[in-house]
Amino acid sequence: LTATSPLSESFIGLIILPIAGNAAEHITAVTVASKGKVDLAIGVSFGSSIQIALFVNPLMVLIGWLLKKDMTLYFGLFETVTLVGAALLVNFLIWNGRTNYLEGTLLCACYVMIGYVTKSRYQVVRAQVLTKSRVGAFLLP
Amino acid sequence: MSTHHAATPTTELAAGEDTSEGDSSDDEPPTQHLTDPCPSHEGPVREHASLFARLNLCGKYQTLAVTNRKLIPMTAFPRPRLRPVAQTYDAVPGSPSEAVRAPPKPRDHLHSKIATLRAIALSSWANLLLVFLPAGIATGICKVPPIVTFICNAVAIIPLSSLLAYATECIATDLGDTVGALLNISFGNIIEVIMFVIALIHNHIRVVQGALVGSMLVNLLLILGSAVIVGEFQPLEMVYDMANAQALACLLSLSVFSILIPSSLHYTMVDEQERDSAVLTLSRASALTLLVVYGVYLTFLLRPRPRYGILSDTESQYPRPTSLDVPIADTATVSRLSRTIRFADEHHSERNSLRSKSSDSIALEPMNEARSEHSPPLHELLDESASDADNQHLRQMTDRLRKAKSRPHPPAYSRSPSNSRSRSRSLNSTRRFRYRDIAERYGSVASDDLTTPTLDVTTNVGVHANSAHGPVISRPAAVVLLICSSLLVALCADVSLPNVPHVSLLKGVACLWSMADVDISSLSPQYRL
Repeated sequence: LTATSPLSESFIGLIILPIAGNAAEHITAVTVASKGKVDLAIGVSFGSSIQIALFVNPLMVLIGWLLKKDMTLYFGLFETVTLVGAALLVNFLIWNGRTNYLEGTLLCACYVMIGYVTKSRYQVVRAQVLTKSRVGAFLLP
Repeated sequence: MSTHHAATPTTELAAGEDTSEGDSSDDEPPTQHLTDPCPSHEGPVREHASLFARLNLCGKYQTLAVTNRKLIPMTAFPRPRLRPVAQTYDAVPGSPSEAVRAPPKPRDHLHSKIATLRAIALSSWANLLLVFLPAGIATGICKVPPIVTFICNAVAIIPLSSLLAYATECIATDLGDTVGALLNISFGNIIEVIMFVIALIHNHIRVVQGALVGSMLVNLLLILGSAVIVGEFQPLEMVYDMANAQALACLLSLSVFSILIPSSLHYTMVDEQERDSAVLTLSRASALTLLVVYGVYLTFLLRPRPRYGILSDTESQYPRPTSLDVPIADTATVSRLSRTIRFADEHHSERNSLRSKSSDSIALEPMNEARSEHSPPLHELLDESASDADNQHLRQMTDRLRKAKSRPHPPAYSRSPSNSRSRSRSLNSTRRFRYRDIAERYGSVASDDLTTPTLDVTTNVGVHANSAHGPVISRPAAVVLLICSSLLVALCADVSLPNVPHVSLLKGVACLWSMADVDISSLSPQYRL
């Protein structure tokens, strides 16, 4: 990436905020799926992703337009590639009409890989950033 | 409202019967149902009702057959199960009539509210952990070790999430899975939108972009994957609505495309100035397009189930397709599932009036005409008050009236040769709701099953087991609960976010999270890559 897109920002966005912000959906989907309501679980997880892609994304672009920020739908190469890969995987898995633990494992593995790549990208700046971090001192070994 | 009838039977019209693996072994030819006997003749009302039921069955099964062949060939559609109630009665064996007549005790508003609160409080044992909620927020405000804050908030999220899931399930049972899921994710995403707008104001465009992609990834991969894995541990087979899932998959492809195009534009243009402005213009244009697409998608989801506003509009114009069947159907559908049934009633009339307008279903026309001819004024009154969504009290009164009225006439449980194989295969109420969803989405009248008088009200094992945790609170209460719990979950997540401690299990994640309290814009440029 270029100097205009610091990895740290992209990392915070890509991993931290979504996990925290989607905690409600996560636990709802898992709870509901554990009761056998798989349609509801798919509606929550898949539907949330669709809502972000089709509603929140353009909404943020338009709000950025109003605020005179250069918010675009160009999310960077890494983000775009991961998103395309994830969408391909999910689209392949969703088409057979039933689910099993293999598919769930595949999905989770895909996310773990993305998180790992993001983490290793982040490692480069981590040492520098931790010196600035309030919690960083707490975390340093 | 109807939260306090613990002893009343969980009754369920055997509407969406379980089907086998998507073949047509359950499909009955429509003509077979046309000749179904309707043995209930207990007075003029009953006779009319059975007459209308026959008409209804004709219309319904023609429509369903068409729907089945043309739209969803893989799924078999629900058909009525006519069963004697004594076979399937579980709650109080041997005394169906007594339980059917279980009198709805008159309660005032206060009592119903208390009952709702009790139902919410007793919905899960995890609600005991709610004491950690104020503790978590207080530790977030005060200066305490971050690990305390994190643990308090993480524990507080557990009951909040269970409440959230409970509210979502209530709404989903009430209004269908799509609406339930939509409400749930909407409140979750509204909070995210607020977060993003704040970040955008502070010029963290990369954070916002990363969070948008990250949210999609988390939802698509982590949440879906863990839900699928967890769902593997419950006994039912995980089969879902293919039509819905495929629509979602296509929408996902479109949204990925909309993100791919600016990227390709970004990498194909050479001049940087020109490239940025081109990407910006393209993004704004496609943002508008995507909003239109989302509006169409919402319409697609919600149109076959019109809102109450539409109902009141159409009511005034079109003859009410009325409710001869309603009191009879309500005789045994007391208490727990009565909300579901009532929902079907309302939309039943609603859909019929819409249908007579749209005239795409020829089969339903005679039924509507016949119904509107014979509707007695009392039922008009009853149904009108019942279809008013806002007026809970009136609705309650109406229910009481119906039940009181129908008490001298216990429902006639007709037997039919087609009902022999039913019990073990009707265990999956999720599927039943799902079929109702499919049928509603594609405009068929499957939920007419729920109100057709010849369809017998049968106690259903699966639903009975299911409704132990099932929805018992009213719709507004569920919505309020959903809003409150999602707000509180977001608050807890937010409080615990900047203070992620050194948790050994989550060490890697915790290390990553430690950046959250860094103000990125305050970093000098050499800290950026």
